[in-house]
Amino acid sequence: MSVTAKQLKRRVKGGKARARQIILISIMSVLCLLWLIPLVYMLSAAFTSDKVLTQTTDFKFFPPEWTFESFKQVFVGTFSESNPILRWFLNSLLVSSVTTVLVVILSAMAAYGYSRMKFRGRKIAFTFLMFTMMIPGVINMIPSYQIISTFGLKDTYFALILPSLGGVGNIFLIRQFLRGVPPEYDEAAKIDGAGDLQIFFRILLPQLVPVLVVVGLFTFIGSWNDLLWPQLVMTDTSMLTLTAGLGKMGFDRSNYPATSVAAAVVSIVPVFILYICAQKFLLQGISMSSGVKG
Amino acid sequence: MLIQQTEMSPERKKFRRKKAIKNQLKPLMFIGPHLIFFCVFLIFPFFFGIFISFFRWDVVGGGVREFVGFGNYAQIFDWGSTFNREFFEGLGRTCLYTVVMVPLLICIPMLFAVLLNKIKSKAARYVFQAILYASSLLSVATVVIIWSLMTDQDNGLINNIIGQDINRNYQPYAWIYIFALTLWSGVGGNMVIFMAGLSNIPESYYEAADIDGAGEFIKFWKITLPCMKFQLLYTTVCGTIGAFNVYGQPALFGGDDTEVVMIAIKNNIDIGLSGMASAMAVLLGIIISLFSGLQFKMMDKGEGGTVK
Amino acid sequence: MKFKRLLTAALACVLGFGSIVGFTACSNNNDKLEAAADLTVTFWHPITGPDAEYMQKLIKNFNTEHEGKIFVKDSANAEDTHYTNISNSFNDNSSPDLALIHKSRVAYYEHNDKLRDMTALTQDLKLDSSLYVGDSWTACEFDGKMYAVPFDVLPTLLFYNRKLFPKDKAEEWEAEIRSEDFTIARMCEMMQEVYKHSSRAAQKTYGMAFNYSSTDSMFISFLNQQGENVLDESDPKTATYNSAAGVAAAETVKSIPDTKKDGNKVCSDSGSDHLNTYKQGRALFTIDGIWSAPGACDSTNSKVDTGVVRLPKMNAEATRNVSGDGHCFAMFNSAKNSMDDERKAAVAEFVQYLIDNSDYWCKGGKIAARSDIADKEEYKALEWGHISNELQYVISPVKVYTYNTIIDPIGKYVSDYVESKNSKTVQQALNDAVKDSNSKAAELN
Repeated sequence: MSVTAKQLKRRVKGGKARARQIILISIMSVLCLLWLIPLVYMLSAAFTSDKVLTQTTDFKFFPPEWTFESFKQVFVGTFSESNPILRWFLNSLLVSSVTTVLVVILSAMAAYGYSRMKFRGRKIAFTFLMFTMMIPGVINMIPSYQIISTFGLKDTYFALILPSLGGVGNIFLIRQFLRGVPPEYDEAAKIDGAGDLQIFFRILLPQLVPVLVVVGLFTFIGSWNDLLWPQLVMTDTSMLTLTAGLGKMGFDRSNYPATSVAAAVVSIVPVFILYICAQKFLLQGISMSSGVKG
Repeated sequence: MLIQQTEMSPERKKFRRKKAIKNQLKPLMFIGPHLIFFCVFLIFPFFFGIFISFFRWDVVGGGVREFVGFGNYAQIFDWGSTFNREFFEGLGRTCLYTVVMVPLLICIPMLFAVLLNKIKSKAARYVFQAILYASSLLSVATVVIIWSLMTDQDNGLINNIIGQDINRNYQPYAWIYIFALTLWSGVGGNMVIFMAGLSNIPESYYEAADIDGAGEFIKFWKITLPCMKFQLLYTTVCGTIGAFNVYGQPALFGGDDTEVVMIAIKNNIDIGLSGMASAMAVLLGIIISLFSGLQFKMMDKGEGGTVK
Repeated sequence: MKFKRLLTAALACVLGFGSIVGFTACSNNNDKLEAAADLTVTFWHPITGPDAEYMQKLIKNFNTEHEGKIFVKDSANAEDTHYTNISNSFNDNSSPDLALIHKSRVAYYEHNDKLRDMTALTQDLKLDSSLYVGDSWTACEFDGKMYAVPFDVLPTLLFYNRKLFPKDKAEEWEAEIRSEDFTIARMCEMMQEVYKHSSRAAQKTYGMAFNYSSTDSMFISFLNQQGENVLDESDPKTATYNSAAGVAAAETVKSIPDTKKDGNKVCSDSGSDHLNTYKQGRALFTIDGIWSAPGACDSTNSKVDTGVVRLPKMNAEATRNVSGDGHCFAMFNSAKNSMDDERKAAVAEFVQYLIDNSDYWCKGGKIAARSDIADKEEYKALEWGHISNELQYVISPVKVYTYNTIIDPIGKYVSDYVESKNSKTVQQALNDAVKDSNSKAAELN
């Protein structure tokens, strides 16, 4: 083939590829615009007042009058006293953070124990653990409540943190990942005379960061979004988590529609910021942990 | 062993034994903490929950306890009785939700992930991904608040746009809305997992396929999917378990005939019939275990035959 | 890189700021009062929503007046959570010192021996049956002892918007609606007259913004209007509402949304909030509990001029009764704090305060149970104040421990029938509901 013909062919191929890109980007743009509509609507409603939403039919997509009134009501006034958004947010933050840290540590340690350490009955214990992954949480709800109540832990943060520490799915994930981590490092460390704990914390943990990020994020989100359990164990409204609190707001939703939405907006902002910061980490973590073949 | 086996002195034996015990204890130190919480909050409640189901008992209200053996289960299977209808109608709705949502929450995120992966511009990909994942950050309560407002019959956005007066409580609209909002808030999570998996597939595979003249679809079917086995398995099993446990959307959004089985269980707890609620939970648990076990078996079978 | 660092810094600032604001908001005046007081009384109540403001104000005033001596620490929860919490507290003896519960629950708690005898307290506060019209007092009385103290009454009512009256008939209609002879049929005629059709729901003017979640209250009210009730005290585990009277009651409920004008339904559908539709001036009538009265009667809302009356009678032979629950005060045997004399006196003082200020409380949409409150000026000025003089027509829940369990299925079955969701006849629907009621009641000990 002559040079110019080859160049021509490549140029045509390039043009086709570029056209494909344009089509793709257009499709995704339209999709994302549609995807954003509920979020924009939510912001829009949050800047409306309750009166406009209940007493008039003027709100179509943008508020007839932009006002901060609903946001103000989220923090001061009767609505905020029955629905302490800020307090709920702090509760969620505390509980989810502590739960995440503890789950990550406990699961990583357990995964290390089940994969790297040799002891009698290791295989049996681990298989048993895996089987229990099939047990749905619904059976455990009432008995767990009984336990919490018996130990007098109702209306405490422990009631929300402790039950999550027994989950097994994370151990599975971490153990899968560990399989891909070469054991040379810890063997080298052992030869150098390092103790097991040291090996774990100094050598393995740093290598596990990607999968731990995934475990951490999923645990955090799971804890944050839990609806039923906090409502069950907390009698004091101010001890609820954000999700449980927003979920119980039922009656108030029809009386304070704009304020309810404003409350929802306030609850999302920090999570969004967290997400934007963590996004790079998140992608890396998911990619590395799920890329490893199990 | 390079060291010759010699007769061991008693001190040496003691040392050996101590070390052996120490070796047994060390793993315990690692798996111990988790095991404690596991037993207290997973194993014990599991057996206790089954135990409760054999009683007529208001556990939370502290009422009298009356042994009824399989009585609760008998009532659930007594066709036409109250609890029977509650459980099986609820189960039917849960199954409907599962059958619709689980495939949707696998296929659509996969589609998005594949499309996004093909976009060359990193910036565009970043923006699109951020937007599509953003909706997954919202808790179910927030999503329902937004969608309730949007689907209001007289003043909601949806009715205003399409010019109809759809009543969000009537079927099939109630389910359609619930599916839509679950999709909107659920796609992001799986999409990100799939995207990560896609990024690990070496370009060389596709190039090789291109040379052989394979079309898009074949490339997807023969290369992409097999390489994503783990992700598919994980999202399917977790998704199914989650779908069987669905509670938030139907409970908060409402609608006629959307009372799934979890709602029936919670209602019975609320009116003091925890024995019956436990029995329903046990039955639900058996069904979930069967399903996830089956799925696991089916998908894990093909583990051996991947391209690598 | 720099951008990410900036964002992380921003996040840290937000979190830090949020924590500071949060913690300062949490520790406020209330904590100071609580710390200063000798005695803290725990009080659980289900008052959330617009009327929460009134309860909170009363509690705050009481705490300020009794600074240093008594501090009332309240816990407000939505109704189901409130009762779940109470049930849960029996088990581990963590019940509050005082709780506000519905009249309909008193019999259930009394049956399970959860309630503390409050006879002494009522004597201290000089309360007796002569002060109460209707059956508020007897609803809390068991074997001559008082196990609860009545606070208010919560009837289901009809709201009407005078601004939608035909100009020439305004006075005539006002008189008709308030007379004892006002029937459902006549109400439906008015609905038809006011109805204005349009192709889009938002532009219609409805005869009634029908409240699909109060079909059970309507049903029970119509049963009461015929002199019957959902079950008989003598046989707690058998529901009786599938009788001929029950059929008539259900059919009456259905007749309201079935009313048509030129083939169009004059009532709204269930897809919008009925109260908002009413507040927007788009419906002549709506039916709701009295707690919605302040919102419906809002004088700042130029679209409505609301009057409040009891539900109309279902036919000429019936009495214009309505069913009405109510709030009352209760104390529990499983209270966390020990009930010494000092604490009991503090509780009594708080109860007295709330009862004495019933007129303020009722502004939040309640009817005072005590008849002498009805004479207070501020109370009389309320649109719904006049109902205090009509309490003989407000029928309380049946005083039996199975009541709430029995009425639990009614709402769903009657709603389904009213909305023609399935092909059941009214008798079939009621029979199925009774079957559910009896099954659930049979499970109670």
